[in-house]
Amino acid sequence: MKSVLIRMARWIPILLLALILPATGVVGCKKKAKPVTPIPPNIGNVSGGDPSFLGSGFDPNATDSFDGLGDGSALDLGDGSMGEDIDLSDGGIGAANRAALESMTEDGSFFAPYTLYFGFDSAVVQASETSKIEAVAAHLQSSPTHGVRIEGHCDERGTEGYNMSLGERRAQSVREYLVNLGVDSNRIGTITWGEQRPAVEGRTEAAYGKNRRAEFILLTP
Amino acid sequence: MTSGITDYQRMTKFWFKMTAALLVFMGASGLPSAFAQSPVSIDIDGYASAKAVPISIQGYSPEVASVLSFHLEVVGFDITPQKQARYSLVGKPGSPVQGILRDSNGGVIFSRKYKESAPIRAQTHALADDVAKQILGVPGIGQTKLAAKLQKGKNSEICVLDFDGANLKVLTQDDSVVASPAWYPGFPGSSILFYTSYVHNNPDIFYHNLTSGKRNAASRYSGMNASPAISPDRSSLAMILSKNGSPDVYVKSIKTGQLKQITRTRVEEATPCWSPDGKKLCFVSRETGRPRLWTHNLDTGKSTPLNIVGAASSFEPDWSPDGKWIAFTIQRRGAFSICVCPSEGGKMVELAEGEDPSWAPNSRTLVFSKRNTSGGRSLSLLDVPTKRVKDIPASSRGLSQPSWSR
Repeated sequence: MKSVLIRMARWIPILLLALILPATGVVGCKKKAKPVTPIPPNIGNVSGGDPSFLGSGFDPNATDSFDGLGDGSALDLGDGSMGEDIDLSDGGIGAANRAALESMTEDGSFFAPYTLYFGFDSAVVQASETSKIEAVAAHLQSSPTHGVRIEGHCDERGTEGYNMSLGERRAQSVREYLVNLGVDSNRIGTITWGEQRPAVEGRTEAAYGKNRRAEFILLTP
Repeated sequence: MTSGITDYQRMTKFWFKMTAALLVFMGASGLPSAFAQSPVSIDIDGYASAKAVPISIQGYSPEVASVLSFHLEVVGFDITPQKQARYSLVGKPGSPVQGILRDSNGGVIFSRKYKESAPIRAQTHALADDVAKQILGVPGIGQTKLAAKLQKGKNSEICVLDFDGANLKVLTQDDSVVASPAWYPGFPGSSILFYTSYVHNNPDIFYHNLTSGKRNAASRYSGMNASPAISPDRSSLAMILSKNGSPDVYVKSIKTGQLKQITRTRVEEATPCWSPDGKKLCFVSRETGRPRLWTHNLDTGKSTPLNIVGAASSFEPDWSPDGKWIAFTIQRRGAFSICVCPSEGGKMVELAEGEDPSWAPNSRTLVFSKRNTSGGRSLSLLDVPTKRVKDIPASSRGLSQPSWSR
């Protein structure tokens, strides 16, 4: 019975989106991507003239000749990969409009009381935390030009690589909840910090509990 | 010369089995699942029960002796007085580095002198590589590099260092968070690193040419762009993206830019790596409740959990370059251990305390990170057959997420 409910619940965001998207005209709307800030050459301490660092067999005078990795190759995706179309075929809730959200002004304190917390090694939104998401949703519904970025965090008791994904999954769980409450998914960005930005230092259960969290950053035009 | 090899074969059954398995694999190459169908059963207990080979070192300057000892101990030798040694290596102080390698009967295995134009450390590593090749039959690692994340207060940067901790260089100056460096295969001919940086306030993947110093964005989708891994044929980039609402494994063609979604789950996937034949991926998924390793066959499009006996949860896989093993991390009551299992699953061997292993090109040595009591991390090296661990010296403080060039 429980699994049937879970399966049905999985379709809720998709059904909601199917209702919301035609009304908002989001489907197929691909905004022009924000140009990527160019990265200056010779960033960092690496130069081409230090053969001892570069190891044997290296010709410091060689030009870039790596398969498909030069400028203008297919992998040079800095400009073309943002502002994704929402792809319902994947069963997800689609991407946020990254370019639009990145140009907005951040306010990290506005939603500070609504930071929500997670169980150990879990990305499931706990019943005790849902009222916080509802409060954020109410604000977004009353302020249609505002957006939000959800920042997912982990405690340090996990491997670093896994915590990157777990932090993102936490942020995405909250994002789904907001979408289910009727907030346009294009207005909700996510970011994972893994275990890199603990709220509290220390290696106690209490500290860990405060670090397993999702924070809301208000975005205004 | 032959006496040395015979000697070693007598000492451990393991290399017989490696050679037999390699021949079977070579014979069967071209079959899509050569590893899985190999009739040679992999003896994991035999693999991880070798004894270190005693060798004596004489005549070198303290600097050369120190580099030489560290290198030889990392790849499975034990430095002993001459009386207890099975082999002896005799040289002279200063440059050029030279060495006469003898067996226990005094028979000369080789006598070599190295190019004085190379730095003395490089000459020393070349000598250690030759000793390891001659006695253990393993490829050299003396010219290899490690890339790692260097923690600097709240932020981190990508750095590159020799496998023994020397010549550490900080590559980025992003004053931000970086993660999971991964080498583009073919070092040192190609010297390119992929990694995640938050320099644009989002985890995006960059590729950084160490030769020219230039870097470009490889992946800047909405949401997370993390855990890059380049296929051994250098055609494809595997990574974790969350642009469709959940962290999933994707593969992007480096030539055409075409993106393929590999997993479609409502849970998190993490840290993909490639099989050396490029036909499979191994990654972490929570699809069955707990985070554990899965493999994905790119020919059939099927993902299956890797059955590892004794591991409830498993993380951060790395497939050995010879295709036979997967190294990974397990977590038990807050402690992490490095483990190895056959690449088709089965029995695992727990090797040492630590996390996030990465194979050297010799399919024998692992680099991994270890936490100290205050939570900081540093790097250590592990010789899998002998289970011996050597910490990379003090310069590796604050280092984690190592990737070994290969």
